[in-house]
Amino acid sequence: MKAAVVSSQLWVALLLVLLSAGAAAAAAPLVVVEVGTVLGSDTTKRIDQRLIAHGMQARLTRIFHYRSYEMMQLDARNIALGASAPFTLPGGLELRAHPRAVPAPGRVALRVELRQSEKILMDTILTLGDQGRVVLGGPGHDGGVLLIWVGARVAAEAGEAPALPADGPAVEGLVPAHATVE
Amino acid sequence: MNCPEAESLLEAFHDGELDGRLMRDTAIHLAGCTRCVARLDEYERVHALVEESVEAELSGFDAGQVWAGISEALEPAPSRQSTWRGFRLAAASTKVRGVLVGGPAEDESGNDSWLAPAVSGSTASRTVFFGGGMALAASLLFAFVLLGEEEAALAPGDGPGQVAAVSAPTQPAPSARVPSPPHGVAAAFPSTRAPVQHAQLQQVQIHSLNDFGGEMAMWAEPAGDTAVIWLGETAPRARR
Repeated sequence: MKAAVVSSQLWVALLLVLLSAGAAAAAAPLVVVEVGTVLGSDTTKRIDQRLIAHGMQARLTRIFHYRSYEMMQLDARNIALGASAPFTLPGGLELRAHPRAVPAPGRVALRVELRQSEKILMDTILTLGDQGRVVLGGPGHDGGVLLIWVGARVAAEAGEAPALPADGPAVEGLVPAHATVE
Repeated sequence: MNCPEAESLLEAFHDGELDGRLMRDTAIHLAGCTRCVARLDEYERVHALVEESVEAELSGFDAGQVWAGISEALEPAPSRQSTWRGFRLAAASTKVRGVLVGGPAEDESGNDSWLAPAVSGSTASRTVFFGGGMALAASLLFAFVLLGEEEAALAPGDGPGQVAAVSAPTQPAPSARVPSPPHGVAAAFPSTRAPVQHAQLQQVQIHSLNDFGGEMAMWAEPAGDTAVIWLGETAPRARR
């Protein structure tokens, strides 16, 4: 009899555990993390129109003065707060984004790690506003340098699909990916 | 850039008279050269003394007070080095050090283990992905852990070798004594005397930054709300 009571209490505790864990998981907001990779070079004079669609053309040309900016890849993912997701980049690079908090409306605190093979190149904690972008540059690739931009925002709705660009000339190597990582 | 080249540019660098590329190249050299940093500190000290003297004279202080102020300023100031870090484009051979845009100077004795390479597998992830047996206790603590992590994320970097705060403010930070910044590197040489921008106004805030053995530099482009972290030996083709 006593064993049965203990057993039922354990089941109730387990149920509470599952419910509370489920509630916590459900409450974690999704963050849209966007990672774009651009090849900056001086080989030709060309600016990929997709950069304009993403508001990156003005930013990049204001900061750098390469002759050519070619978007190689764009990846946007919904990532649950507290989770992390890898973004595979050209040149054997991998960027791992880990949204950590939403400190204020329209702002996302996240950790960003850049790796090459198993080697960690850079590890940063930053807060991005809706309009904020951080550009990781420097790795050489195909006669130019990679300019990797990272943006993040809270998803308007849980089921919101990550926004990907748009119209523009097809770019070989553009790998859009819609994925939710929880 | 070598030391003689850098030294010939230090005064112009201090006064913000170099073009963007020279400004940046000099800053990168300074980040790894203690000798040139010392020379630059001398420029800053002289500049400060002159400025203080002029200000004192204009405000009607008597000479004795001015001299007392100068004498005091001539004493070595322990906080000088950390204050000056605030003006530099952060770059170092092993780990970036420095404070950009109004953040407090890094704490040399601090140690942010969260960022240490040994735990770069993400403590936070482990905190969130708790196991079933500990789920109840962990879920009760979940909110507190996240709150704590958020605080940590938003706190200025406090470990050695980390940049404490880099920001690309929506509006350029007001600064009275910043060398005229070239376009594109406006936030790379801010004055630590400038008021700290409130987090709500900043589109990019870099709280901490670790590299793991390579060269690194960074700057912010306030107009575009964009911060740049540059890795590797190749110099960026950055605009003035």
